[in-house]
Amino acid sequence: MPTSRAERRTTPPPLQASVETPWGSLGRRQVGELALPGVVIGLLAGAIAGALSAAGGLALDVALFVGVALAVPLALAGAGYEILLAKGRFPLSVLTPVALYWAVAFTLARVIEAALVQLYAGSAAAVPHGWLDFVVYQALVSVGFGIGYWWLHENFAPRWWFRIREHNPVADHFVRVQLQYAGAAEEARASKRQRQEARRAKRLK
Amino acid sequence: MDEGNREPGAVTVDAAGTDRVWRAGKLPPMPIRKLPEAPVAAHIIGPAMVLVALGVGFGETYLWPRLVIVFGPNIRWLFTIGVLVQLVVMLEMARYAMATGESIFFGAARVWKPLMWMFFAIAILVYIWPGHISGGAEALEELTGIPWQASATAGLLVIGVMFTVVKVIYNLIEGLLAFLVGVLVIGSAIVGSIVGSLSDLGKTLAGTVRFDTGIPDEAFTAAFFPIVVGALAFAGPSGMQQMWYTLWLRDKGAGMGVHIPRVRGLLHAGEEETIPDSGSMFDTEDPEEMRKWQGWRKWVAFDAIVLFFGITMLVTVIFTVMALNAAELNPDARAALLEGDRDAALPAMADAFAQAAGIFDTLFFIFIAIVGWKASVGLFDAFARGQSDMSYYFMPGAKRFKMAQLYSLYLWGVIIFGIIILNFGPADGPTQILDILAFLSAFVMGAYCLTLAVVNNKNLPKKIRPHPFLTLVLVLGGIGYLTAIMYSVIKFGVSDIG
Repeated sequence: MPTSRAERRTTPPPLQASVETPWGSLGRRQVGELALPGVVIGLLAGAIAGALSAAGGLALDVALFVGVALAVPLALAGAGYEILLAKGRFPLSVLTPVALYWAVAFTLARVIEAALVQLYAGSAAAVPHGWLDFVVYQALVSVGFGIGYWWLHENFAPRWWFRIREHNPVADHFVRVQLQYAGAAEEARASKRQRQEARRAKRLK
Repeated sequence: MDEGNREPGAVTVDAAGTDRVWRAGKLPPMPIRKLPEAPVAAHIIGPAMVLVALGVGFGETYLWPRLVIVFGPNIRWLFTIGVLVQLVVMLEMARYAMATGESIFFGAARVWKPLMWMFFAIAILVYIWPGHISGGAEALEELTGIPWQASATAGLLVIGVMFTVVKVIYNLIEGLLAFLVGVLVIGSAIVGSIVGSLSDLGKTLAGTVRFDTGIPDEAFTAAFFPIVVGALAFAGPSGMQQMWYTLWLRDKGAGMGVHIPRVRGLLHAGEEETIPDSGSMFDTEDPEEMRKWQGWRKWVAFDAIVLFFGITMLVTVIFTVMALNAAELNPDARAALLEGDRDAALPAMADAFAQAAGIFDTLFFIFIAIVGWKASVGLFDAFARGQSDMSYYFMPGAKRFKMAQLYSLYLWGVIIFGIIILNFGPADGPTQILDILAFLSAFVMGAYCLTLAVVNNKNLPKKIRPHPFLTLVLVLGGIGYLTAIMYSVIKFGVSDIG
């Protein structure tokens, strides 16, 4: 490739996401807002289990019980993750902490659900191979749930933060961190527009 | 990532003040423009998501579980090989698309134009048949009783209208598929957690990496060898999906794709920006540009390894665990499949799931319905995108039209043809040519592996060409796909690999 004296604009290296968040300034309502994405994903997971149970012919009360018994612990755990994220305990967008968190939280949620369903429906079908096998297996499968959670969170939580950023400083912080790149691109476009307008104005003179 | 209107960036000039260019083949040279900055790590999920949404389909949820029911989990090492080859293909497709902003079709035309026209013709032959949506619609009929022709026709019309009214088509595809994939992954995890056991998971994982187990003798039969070939081809993205990935990358604004305008819905065709005659190249002698290039490579590697490889493996592991459970609970399924009853797998798995917890037959049909519809959403967009790209640049007189108009022409063409076929003809294609279609979709994978190896080593500057090892993987992968399908045809006289 030939060398040239082509104009070379130095582009700043990508900025790293800060773990410092303005958590201390939040009220209860604002914390609730931040927890919402996790709660919704947890409820969605419970709804999937409950709806399928109902559609599959389980008695409606048992199906509802299955859904609620899984949705509530998963929604609480989802809220817990979002709050830890808001406090800056987890870095934004990194998969490993999400997977580790859900290895514990998903396993616990499944244990709670299986135990409650056993009590309610009086069936031992939930843990056919014994509790030890059950717990280890759930911890391994939780990786799948963790990836699914992370996926939905990465795709949809930023849209929610964008909506509440006006009155929620942590959401605003997240949006700013995530838009660093877009911001740089926006600046470049704005300066290009200005240059074009200046040229046009010069021509009209 | 650039989300606003797009104009090509300024062309850099040499000491004499003339525009600098990179020449590759006989087609218009690529102007040297600036490479944009790569996004911060994983903050922006790339188009691998669309590829995952398309790729994780019947192969992972149906073809491989069926093989596992028949041959046991030790055959899964073939899946691992298939997905690893596809991982390399994906990274190499991304290399060309991000370095030039051109599709792989354009890259193939730079090498030899008839090669590109071959892909154009294969796409029409293979993808005009609406078989993918009829599969999902049949599953929906099992659940709701709604005749499959009605739901499939409605599904096609919804897709057509959706892609006509939206401003930027890629944004819609991304949002919709992101949600469906998320639900699929979370749903799979929940079902897997209820149905499977530690021992099934252990067998599945061991089978995934046991490369010493070989292929069972029973697989070398006219009934099963073509199925093994098909399952290998359907491990991860199949057919032309990897080629279309280059078009999604460009629309996402990855690398030099930022200098090419995005495809708009027909109702917004008037807002389309001027499309340059070719892609562009960045200055590979500039360390600053190379730093940004490394950033893009890192970004796409995350996309490929974590999202594509991770999610594909995860979904298939969970479905294999379910298949093992099905085989345990319903031993008749294996016998039926071995006797040649190809359709036994679906009801057998559904029955076995039903025995396990009383709910999973429904779940299985819901999954198949989702998989069918999401595949159709992605495939119609991809088909129209690929054909309009090739037509715009290489069909004489096509540049009189806007890209959005060409896109809509192909989109509505395939939808109207699909509706006619769904209601009045064989959805998968005429029976007589079914074998040819199946042959072509495996053949095209071998062809694009070899084409990609040539394109990246011929069209790109030396500094950003692939490592020889990666080229070797592409060549071996290409030869592997072609040999397997040829062997199937010559030895057994069968190329129906579904």
